[in-house]
Amino acid sequence: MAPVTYEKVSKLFDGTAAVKDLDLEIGDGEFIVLVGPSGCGKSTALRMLAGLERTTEGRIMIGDRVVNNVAPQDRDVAMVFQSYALYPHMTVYNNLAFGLRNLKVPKQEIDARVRKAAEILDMGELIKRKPKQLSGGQRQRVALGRAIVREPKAFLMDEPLSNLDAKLRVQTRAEILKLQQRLGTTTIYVTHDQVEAMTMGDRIAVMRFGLLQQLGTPEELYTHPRNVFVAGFIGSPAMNLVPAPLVDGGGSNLIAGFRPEHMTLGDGSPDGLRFDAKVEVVEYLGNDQLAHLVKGETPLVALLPVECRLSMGDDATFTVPRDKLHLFDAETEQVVHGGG
Amino acid sequence: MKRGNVSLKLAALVVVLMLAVSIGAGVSAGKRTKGQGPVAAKAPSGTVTLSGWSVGATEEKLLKQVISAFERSHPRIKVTYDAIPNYDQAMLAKFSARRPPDVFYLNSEKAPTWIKQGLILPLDSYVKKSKFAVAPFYPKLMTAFRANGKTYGFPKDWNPLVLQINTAMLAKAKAKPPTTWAQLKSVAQKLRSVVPDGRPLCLAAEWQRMMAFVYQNGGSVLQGKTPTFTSPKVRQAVEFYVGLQKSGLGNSPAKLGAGWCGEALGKEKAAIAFEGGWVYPYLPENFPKIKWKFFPMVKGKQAGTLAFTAAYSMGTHSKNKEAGWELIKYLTGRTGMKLWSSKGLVLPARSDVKVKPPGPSRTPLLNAAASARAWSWPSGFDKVWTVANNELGAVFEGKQTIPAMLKKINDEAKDALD
Amino acid sequence: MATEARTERSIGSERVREALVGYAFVFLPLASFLIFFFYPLGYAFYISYFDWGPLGKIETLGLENYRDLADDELFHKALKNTLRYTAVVVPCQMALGLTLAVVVNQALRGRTFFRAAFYFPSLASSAAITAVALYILASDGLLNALIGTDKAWFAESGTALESIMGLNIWTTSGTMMLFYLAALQAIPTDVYEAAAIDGAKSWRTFWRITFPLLKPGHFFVGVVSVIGSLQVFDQAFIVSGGGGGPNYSTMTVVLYLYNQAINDVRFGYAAAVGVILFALIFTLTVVQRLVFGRMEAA
Repeated sequence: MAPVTYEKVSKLFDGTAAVKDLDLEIGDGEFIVLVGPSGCGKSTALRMLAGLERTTEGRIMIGDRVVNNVAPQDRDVAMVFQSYALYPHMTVYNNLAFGLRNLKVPKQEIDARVRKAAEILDMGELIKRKPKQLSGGQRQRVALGRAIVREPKAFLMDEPLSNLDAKLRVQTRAEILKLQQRLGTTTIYVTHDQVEAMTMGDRIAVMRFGLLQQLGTPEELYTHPRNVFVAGFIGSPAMNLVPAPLVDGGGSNLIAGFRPEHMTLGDGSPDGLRFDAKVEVVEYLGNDQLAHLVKGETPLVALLPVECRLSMGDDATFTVPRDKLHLFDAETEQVVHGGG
Repeated sequence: MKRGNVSLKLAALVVVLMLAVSIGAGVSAGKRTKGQGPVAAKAPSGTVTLSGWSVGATEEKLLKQVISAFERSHPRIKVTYDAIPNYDQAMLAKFSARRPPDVFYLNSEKAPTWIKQGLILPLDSYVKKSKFAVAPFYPKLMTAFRANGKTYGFPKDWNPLVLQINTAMLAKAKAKPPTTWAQLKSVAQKLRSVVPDGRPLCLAAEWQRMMAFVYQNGGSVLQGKTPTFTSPKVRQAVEFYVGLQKSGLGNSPAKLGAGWCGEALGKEKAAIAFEGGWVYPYLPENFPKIKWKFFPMVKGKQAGTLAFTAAYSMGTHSKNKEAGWELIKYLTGRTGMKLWSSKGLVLPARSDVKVKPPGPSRTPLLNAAASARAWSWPSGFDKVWTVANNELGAVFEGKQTIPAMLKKINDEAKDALD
Repeated sequence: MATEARTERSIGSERVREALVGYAFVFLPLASFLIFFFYPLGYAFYISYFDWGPLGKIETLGLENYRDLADDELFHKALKNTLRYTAVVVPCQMALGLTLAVVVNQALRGRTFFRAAFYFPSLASSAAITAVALYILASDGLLNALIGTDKAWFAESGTALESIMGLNIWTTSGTMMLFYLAALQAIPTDVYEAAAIDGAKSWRTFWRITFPLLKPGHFFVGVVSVIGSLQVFDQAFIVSGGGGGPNYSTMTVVLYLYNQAINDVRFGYAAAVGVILFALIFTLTVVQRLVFGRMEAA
């Protein structure tokens, strides 16, 4: 394993920048997540690291080796594709062994490593099967196995959980985390799902329109989002972002942001934000309730304990503590005052 | 929604009906042309369909002239002429459908087979009724079209194999045209220096040429129903012919760089060819600079050569037989035959028609009538000739011996005859 | 407008009408298939048991035609030539078609032009191409002028059939290229990306990934190639003038069939030859199905 560095990396397709000026230093053994909406450039950034796309500008380094002009075959990275990209005509064993055979690893060692990977991923009895005989989840494990067996400098994962059903996704998320912690391999993980990003990454790089929006730990991104986009992207349910005057948060040049889970019903702390809103619909979540409010024409969302009694059509007062209030410049969308 | 469904289905039904009607119309249109001529009219009239294989533009033009002359003298009969490519294939299909043309070419080689299959109409009753003179036709040409004592056609023209010699080359080699086998060898020897490859004779590796030499040696390959390919006279003739190739005096046209011996002559790759009258107008039209003439076929122990001929015949299921016979009578009669052979493209098949065609003198060809035997073989012999020519080609290549070849052909011939 | 309730009856008759429309559309191609393909096929099987002429049945022979074919030396030669021809042409056609497809599949400049150029020979009629080839391969023709020999390629028993092989391989390469190209483009690109990351260089990727995944292409091209090769006729006929020479080298099964039917007018015997050829093609296709058949779904 090795550290990975992006130095002012850009990728242009016919004049449009898919990735612009990306600077990223990923530590040896770190699990970093690239997250953002479709088209933000996260996959392109990953593929440039893999060698499947050429960088237009900048340098990419694996360890202290500049790999811009190195073929994917020689970069010693392993990739897990969204579609798994298993070799359909080969058994699971051969799918795993293929990469090692290309490196002319001795047969016995190949066998040992394949069996070990199969054991780690609990695939023992699937070894002789072909991909079309496997379920989606099993294929995903084979894709992971292919990467593990190589013992590469870095794992590159391109939305590996997207094609799984919700329950399997949650399960596999944890397994991947456990795996990475066990093997300690540098991992660059791409996803559009901010929940995956928050739960899995040591650090998260939020991207939008090819530009890096913010790089930080999940906690940093949650408590101190640097701009409106990151604020609204991270956290579920999403942060309420409204013109400041609407909630008495400040002048018309500001946008006020506060998370649904930081809103309380009633008067609350004295120097926080206080405003009225009308309850439209309440969703019962078991442990909490999600209240959909409206103030004027603007919708708001509050996550409240189930004990709060709310009914449709009620007008209620809500408060947000000052240290949970974020203010953004309405024009630049950058944070002006954020998260205490 | 419902309305749309109905109109779509209606449209489909209309399309299907239209197609069905057009198919039906086509089928019935085919039927309508049947029996167009009046039934059992006193004087023959109506339309006569005439078909032959594809020929060159010159020949076709001449044929059409002859047909026009016929139509002028028989105002109640109209002739539609068709040149058919892939003639044998197409004719067999027409015979199978029982809709052959009224009058058509019958190749002497194919005649026994088609007659045996019952496809050809015997003409004897028509001959008798019209008192058509049969005697003027060269008897050796008629044999191909006679079977079971009946006559199935009358030859429209014919061609024998004779010598064609490049007279300029002959003069250059200071040689005289050969008349015997020995002279053929010596003259060829002299001509070696005048041709580029040193092989002045064009020798097709085909029995359709070599057979002339068999006849010149007094031999024959079929005696009644017994094949005699292995007889000494046949073997000697073959040895002579092949010997010419082996001794380097000649070679097959392909080896000389031509498609056939006429082309070899034209390209000046050969000085002597053994072809028929069809070399005119081929040589003047394609290689006008060559100076050449016809010379009599060489003689072995006797005179002998091959004749190629075709007849006009009618099919068993031809429609307008009465008018068809009128056409045949004209085309093979004195007037028609004279007009047809006037341009020198073919020779008249009747001894009472004299022509003076343009081009080199045809006397050597006309004189061959006495000794020229028609190329015509019993049904089933095509396979024998396929084997025979392949074997001869192998002999030419040095991959087969003459006795083995003759035995093989003989066995094949025995198979075909039983 | 009053809306009618859809009764069971009207739904039923609507289904019937829909079915009739379907049959009406299918009727013509189906009838054409039955009349022009199926019926003649059955007819040929039938007449092979007889001595058959243009005017119909001459004599019932039972299996005698087939017994005669078993002893027919010329037929054996034709069969041997045809099998030898197929054994050479099929692998060459497949290899050449695959090579061209791989070349054309690269994102090279002018690949559209090359695709059209490679396909072009397939468009010309085989008779026209053979006529031109007769000139080029004549002993004083273009090929000899270029390589300095004076062989009459079509007129020597050692090279006649081989020249036809070369001619056909070249002519059909474009069609095989298109088939392989379709199969090639059906392979998902991420499999290639995975192979690249797994360290496979170009030759290894071709042999271990591309070639095995082309099984559907191999099958289709193989079958089409075998069927076409076993029926070789045009070139043999034109080059040898129908005689199958020199020295039997260009005598093929279909040429023999043609000669027996058209020249010796033995329709029943020729039909028997056809039946044997049919059985041969059928068997080889089934064998190919077993070898290549099991298609892998990704």
